Amino acid sequence: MPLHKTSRIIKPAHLALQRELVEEWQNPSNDRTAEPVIYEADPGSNEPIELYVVWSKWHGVSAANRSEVILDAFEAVRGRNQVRRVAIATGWTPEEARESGLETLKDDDVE
Amino acid sequence: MSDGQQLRARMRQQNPSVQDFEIAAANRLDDALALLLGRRLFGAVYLLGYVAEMYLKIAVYRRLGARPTGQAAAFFRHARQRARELGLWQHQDQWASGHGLMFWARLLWSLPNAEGHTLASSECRALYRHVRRIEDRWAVEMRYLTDAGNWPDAERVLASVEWIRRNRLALWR
Repeated sequence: MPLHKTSRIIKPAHLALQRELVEEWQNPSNDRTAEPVIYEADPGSNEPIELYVVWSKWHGVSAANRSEVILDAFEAVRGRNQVRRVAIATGWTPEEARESGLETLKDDDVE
Repeated sequence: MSDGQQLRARMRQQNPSVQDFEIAAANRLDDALALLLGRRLFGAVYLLGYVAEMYLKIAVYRRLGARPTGQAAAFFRHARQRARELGLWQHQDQWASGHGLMFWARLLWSLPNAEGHTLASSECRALYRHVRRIEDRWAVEMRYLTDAGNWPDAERVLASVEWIRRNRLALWR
């Protein structure tokens, strides 16, 4: 049986989520109720970036895999140098976001 | 299950990532600020030392190639191995069961980044100064002491922890 060595396994379902996220990042929807909702907190080139993505499609995806999908999508859009600046990348379902207070974030609140 | 049992179960299952350290460091910094506002100065300094430790470890792990999702325990072992390879184990008296701030700082300025560059000497000097300032006023063993603390010490430690926090991207990039 062939042996495939890789640093991590990416499931096809996660690749599909990543592609959707890249699409949203590149062509953000004008519909304020649309998903995924991406919060990209970039306070400046000398500080780390924080990424929060609220999305119903995170149901059934582990926290670690959500973070990996977000990081991979961000790297595809912004490049390797920018992904090295990311300190936090977390995915939240709308319910989780509501419970944590994340959903109430406005653009100006993200620092 | 009681709250205490749930907490212990969560801790047993926990395998914190580098970004969990980042979130925890920010939370503990908030806790320390609350203690400072409540004039619980010694406790505030005790927490601030751990905040510095977490930010230094994050910077080392990131220099070693960790993504935010990297498992902290694996990078802790990797860091200890790299310290041995770099000959830093001669300073193992500073290791302090993995809590030695100067040990982590020394490892940080010895590690090349992804492009093969180590920290600039000006950054090393500033990092040394701030870590020294914290270590002069902080040790894990503080937990066994009773002391009121004092404002000048607390302010100096807070300023140095803030410096590390603000410059952490430069330290890991």
